[in-house]
Amino acid sequence: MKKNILLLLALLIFSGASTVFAQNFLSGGQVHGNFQTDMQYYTNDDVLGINDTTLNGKRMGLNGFLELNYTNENFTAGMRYEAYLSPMLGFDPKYEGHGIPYYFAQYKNDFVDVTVGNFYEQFGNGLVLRTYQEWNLGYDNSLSGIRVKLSPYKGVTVKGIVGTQRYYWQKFEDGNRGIVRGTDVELYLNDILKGLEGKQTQIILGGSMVSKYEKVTSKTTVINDTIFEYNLPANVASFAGRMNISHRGFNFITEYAYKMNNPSQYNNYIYKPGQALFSTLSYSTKGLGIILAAKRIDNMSFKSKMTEDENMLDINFVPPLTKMHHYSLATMYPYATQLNGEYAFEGDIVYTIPKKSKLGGRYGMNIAIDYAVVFDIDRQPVAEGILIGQTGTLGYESDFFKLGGDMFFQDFNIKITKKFNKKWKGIFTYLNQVYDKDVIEGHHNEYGKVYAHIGIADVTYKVTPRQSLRTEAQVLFTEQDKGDWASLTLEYNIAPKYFISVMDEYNYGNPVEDDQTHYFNVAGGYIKGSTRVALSYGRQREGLLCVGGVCRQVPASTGFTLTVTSSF
Amino acid sequence: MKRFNIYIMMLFTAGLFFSCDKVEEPYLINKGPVGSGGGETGKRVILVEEFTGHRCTNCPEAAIELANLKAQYGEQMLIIAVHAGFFAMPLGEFTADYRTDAGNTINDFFGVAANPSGMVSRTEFDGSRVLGKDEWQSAIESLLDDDAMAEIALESSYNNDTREAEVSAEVEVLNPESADYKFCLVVIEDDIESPQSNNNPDVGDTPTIHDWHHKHVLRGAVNGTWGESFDAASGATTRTYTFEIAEDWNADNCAFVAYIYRDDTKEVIHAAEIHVNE
Repeated sequence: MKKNILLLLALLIFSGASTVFAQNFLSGGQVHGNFQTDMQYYTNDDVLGINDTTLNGKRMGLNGFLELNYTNENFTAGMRYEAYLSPMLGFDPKYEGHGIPYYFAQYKNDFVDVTVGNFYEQFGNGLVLRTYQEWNLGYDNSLSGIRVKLSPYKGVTVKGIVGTQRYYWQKFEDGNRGIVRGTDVELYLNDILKGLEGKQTQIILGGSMVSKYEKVTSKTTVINDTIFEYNLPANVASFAGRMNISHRGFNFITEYAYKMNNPSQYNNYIYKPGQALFSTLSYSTKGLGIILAAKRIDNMSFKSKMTEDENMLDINFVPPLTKMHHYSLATMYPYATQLNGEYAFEGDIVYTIPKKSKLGGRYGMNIAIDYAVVFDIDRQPVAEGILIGQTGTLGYESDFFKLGGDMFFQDFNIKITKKFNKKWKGIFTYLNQVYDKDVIEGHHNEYGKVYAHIGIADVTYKVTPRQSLRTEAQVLFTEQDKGDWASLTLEYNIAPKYFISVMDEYNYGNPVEDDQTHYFNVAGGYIKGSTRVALSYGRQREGLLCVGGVCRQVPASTGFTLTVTSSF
Repeated sequence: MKRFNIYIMMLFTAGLFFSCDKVEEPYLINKGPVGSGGGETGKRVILVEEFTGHRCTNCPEAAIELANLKAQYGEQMLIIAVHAGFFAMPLGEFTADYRTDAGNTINDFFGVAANPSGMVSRTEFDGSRVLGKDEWQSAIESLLDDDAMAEIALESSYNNDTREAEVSAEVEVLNPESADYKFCLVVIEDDIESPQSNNNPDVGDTPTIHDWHHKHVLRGAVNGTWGESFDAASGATTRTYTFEIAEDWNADNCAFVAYIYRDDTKEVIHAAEIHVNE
């Protein structure tokens, strides 16, 4: 099928038999693309316990892609070539290989927008459907099939999709994963209702339905020497309704989703329906932004294959309500969304103290305060003698408005950004985090909660108008897990072409003296136009890498990393 | 009218894409007592090679799953637990070393990258040969109705004093194709008690079950990791082997597992098991 489509595209573009068509088709067309390759060479490291045996001969990892898009008026076609030879450490070995997993052709005008091939799509906030790609996570749940978007009337958008999801390099055949079908309707009421035309209050309503069909195979379990077969549904549907009201600086977004019985490996084959409620209220005006958000999810993992329990084949996505950090020690304890159930709240305030005020000084000062907390949901047995979450039952009962006893995560952080004068500027951050390592990393009664204080000072000194020295000093204090850390980074930039940096993260407080390790790194880079080349050598500490609440485990490693990125 | 059309379109698209199966209780359907299925004579015996390690936290749950499957499929299913790879290395309180040359070779050859995982008669299922635990049953079910493609008759005698076992195997491929077939004989030991990492409180203590009973542990290959070729076109052939049971193995819990596989695809077409001191 893939070959056929590529052949068709090639024929359309290059066929000599349709020269006139091709001339029209190609004239005025534009090609854009981007390229990235990450290559790592791993070396032995006695301190980290890395040797020939643990590397098992895999000295080198390479992840790379090239994305090309051709656009000509209403027509777009594109493809992405990917290579994992072999996948870098921490990426699933099932990625090993290379090829074109993503290709599409799209035509759109004012009324219709049709895509065949691979596509990424999101309904509302993603509670019932979101497909996307995150290169650094090795995550791609793109759909392959057909998508149609219609705009029949002003203010009305209707979408329909049918497809199967990417699963590494595995071809879809014999029902080896499910077929995803969905529809979404969005109404912009200000365009539809005359009474709202031109008003400052703007209202958008939306509704989605997504279902998956999966070939059901026999699954049994043994309870008290008796064999039981699961009565598994071939079709699982989910629904969502959403509303977005904005008025001047205020914006209120809410979405509720419901998923029918969906026994799966991820939820231990329980038959409880899933629910999710996601709401945010924000206010922004010059110099001030406030966001309040709440979320409750209950049994909302929704995958197109019921036996999948890793980070693949997700049909939906639950937005995180925790702040994403970028400083290395602040990412030591990232939060991974608990799709089986969580209750989360977040408050975020960003305030800019005006220039020439007492606190703001000559350049003003920006203060960002964020607080996020995540609890378990309430869970009670469905009946006497049935354990909470017991397979082949409804699993548990849950009071919608009641928090569970266990706090999974808490993050209070304050960031102050201040330019002192033409030469000096700084970003100062404090974080206070509570991290349930067992829940978030999937252990059981092994580590407990980690309580961490993190302080970061990021100061830049402009040596000349084109040269600057950035110093990043970080400390992390905790009595749990691996104890205290300190980190120092020095980075010298010669704009716009060169940078060089040295960094050391030191786990000086590790209770095991032999594990008080230095994770050093030396890096340099060259930038020309839209191309960037960076080379580094050093140690990578193990841990979780999370983007949007979706995480992958990164193992410890030592070696060289070469990264080349380019776009055109 | 305009609004009416919008509603019609919404209903149409909703109906087009919506489908759902609401499952009513009972969610579990009673299929009878264990041992009531499988074990039919003349059927293919399925070999499950489980890749595991004592430092693998999810492996006890997989071992329980395998025991449940064994309880259902009885003699039509045999298990070899291959301890190999990172999680099988001795470390800290996990002092035992169940790794074998044969196990390491098989683990590397089939590219086993994660534990727990397993192969079902080394066949491809959904495009993969190494399967996660939740795919084992479907893969087994897909082979369950196959008629036996070979016969393996085993006899074993064991000398307590010399700790030597003599095993004879009569093997025959019933309708051989134009392929090379190989016969492989290995020794497994059941019920070895030692610590095992565990992540599931329903299975046992976390993070370590100190008195875990390791099942079907591959102890070694009798006639080499990849076995020996034989002339399948010539009908039944008999081979006899002598094997010394190591001092620290419990002979009462040891068994020989024999299997025949196609050398080109590595697919195991039949298997048999006999206790060392049968």
